[in-house]
Amino acid sequence: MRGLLRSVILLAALTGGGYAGLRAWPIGEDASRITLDGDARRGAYLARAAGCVACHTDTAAQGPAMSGGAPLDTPFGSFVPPNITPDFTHGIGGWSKDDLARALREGISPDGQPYYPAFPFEFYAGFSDQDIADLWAALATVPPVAETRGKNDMRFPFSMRSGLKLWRATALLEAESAPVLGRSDDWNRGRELVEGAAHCGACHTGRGLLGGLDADSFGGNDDLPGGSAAPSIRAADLKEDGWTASALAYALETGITPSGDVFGGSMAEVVEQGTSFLDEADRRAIATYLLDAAPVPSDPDALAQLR
Amino acid sequence: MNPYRMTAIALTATMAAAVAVAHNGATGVVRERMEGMVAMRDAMRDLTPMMRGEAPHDPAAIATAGQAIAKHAGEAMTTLFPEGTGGGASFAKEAVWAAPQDFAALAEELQRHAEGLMRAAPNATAPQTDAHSGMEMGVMKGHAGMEMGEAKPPSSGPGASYSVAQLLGLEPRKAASVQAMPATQAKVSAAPDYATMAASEVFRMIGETCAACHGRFRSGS
Repeated sequence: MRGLLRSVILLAALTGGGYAGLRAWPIGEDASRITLDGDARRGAYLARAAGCVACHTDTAAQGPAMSGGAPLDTPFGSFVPPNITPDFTHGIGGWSKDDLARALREGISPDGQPYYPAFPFEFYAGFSDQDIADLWAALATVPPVAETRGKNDMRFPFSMRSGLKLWRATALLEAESAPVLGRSDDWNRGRELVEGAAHCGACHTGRGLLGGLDADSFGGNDDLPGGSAAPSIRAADLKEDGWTASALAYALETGITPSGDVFGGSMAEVVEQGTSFLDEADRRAIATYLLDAAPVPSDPDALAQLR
Repeated sequence: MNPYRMTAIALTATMAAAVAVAHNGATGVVRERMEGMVAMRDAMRDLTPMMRGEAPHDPAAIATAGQAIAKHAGEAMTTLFPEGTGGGASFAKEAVWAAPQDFAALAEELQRHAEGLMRAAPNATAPQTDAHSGMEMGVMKGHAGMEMGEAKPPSSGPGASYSVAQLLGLEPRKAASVQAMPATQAKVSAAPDYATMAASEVFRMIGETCAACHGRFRSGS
């Protein structure tokens, strides 16, 4: 039923707005010019923290690193994380730093097409030019893999990429991960990771009918791809469930929670392929921020249910 | 003690046990395996503060927990998953029966690690404070990265524990994650020598096994 509703909304918008006009609608900011030199180590760490490695590598099938991930099955279709090795044909070998910046920060491909938000670019909007240059330097050390492991299989009408321009105009919600004056370095580092790179909200924030993120973040999502469920990670809920800063940091390292249960679902992968690689100081920073995040805004959001 | 009181206590205990698992009305073998999982969860819960270094080292408690986990692992676990007992109240995914060998391998690994935890129980939980252990984390991590040649990890800063290739998934992380083992064993680690490991390290391995199994065979989170 929700699937049908989704299709109806998009189709109505498409016929009403005019498909041709939609295709011609330009998106994106003016191109940036990144001339900074990158640090491959910093970039590799960021690629790990941001889930690039986890998502773009099919670890279960022992696929080569970054050559394409396992499909993500959603109500809109099946998304296959593409090959991001420097291969010219199958990967991103022909990309410039500016192409990478546009893809990550704006969700737009080098040829101007919008990416589906299954790629969590909304969370990467705050990446600095230095972050981009670092990632670019790290990706340059990855051996090219001349292989396309899979293709997206989207349901109509979501298979029309230009429909995403409407989605972008109404539902796109860029992360606010910039540091806050008057907060500790630890808190601000946690904010940078939680709201940005680590994209906790991609699973722990609810989504509307069209897959847009809820403006009230971190309330949990029981309806994740692959039948996974993500609990609320709002400070009050975490505290009620017995989480402390050290318990959170330990769970992000080992998967072991204060109740004695061990994470399963997608969180098992997040820990194994992501947070367990982080420095202890960063896990602590994430915990500090999560347990002391600002109270959830209570303004009603008219669009929240639709996007 | 009068019989009423005893009945009341028995009833309360039964109800507590029921509440612990019967959140979804499981019965029979499904309920039995859920009770086993809950017993293992509680054993893990009891040790977690100690393993995080926030409670004093207690070898007896560690051994008891290891025993509790071992008792419900291995074959004791897999025999409670007969074919056709998925769905309904069960959280087990169909993968349990589609890949029974993988499931059994993890159950056996859990039993090995749990028995290993009993052997490692006397070993202090915080190896970095134990100067004699010779398996200090920082030292081993440094060695692990060294073999990468060109990309020597710095001693501090982001991702210092791993090489660039490990961070990018080009090389397995094992070189760094076996830091609890003596250097001579780091290369081939078929059967870890639990008796020489810190209890907290074995505990961590149990967590990895749980996560591997939950990630693949348990629905939800």
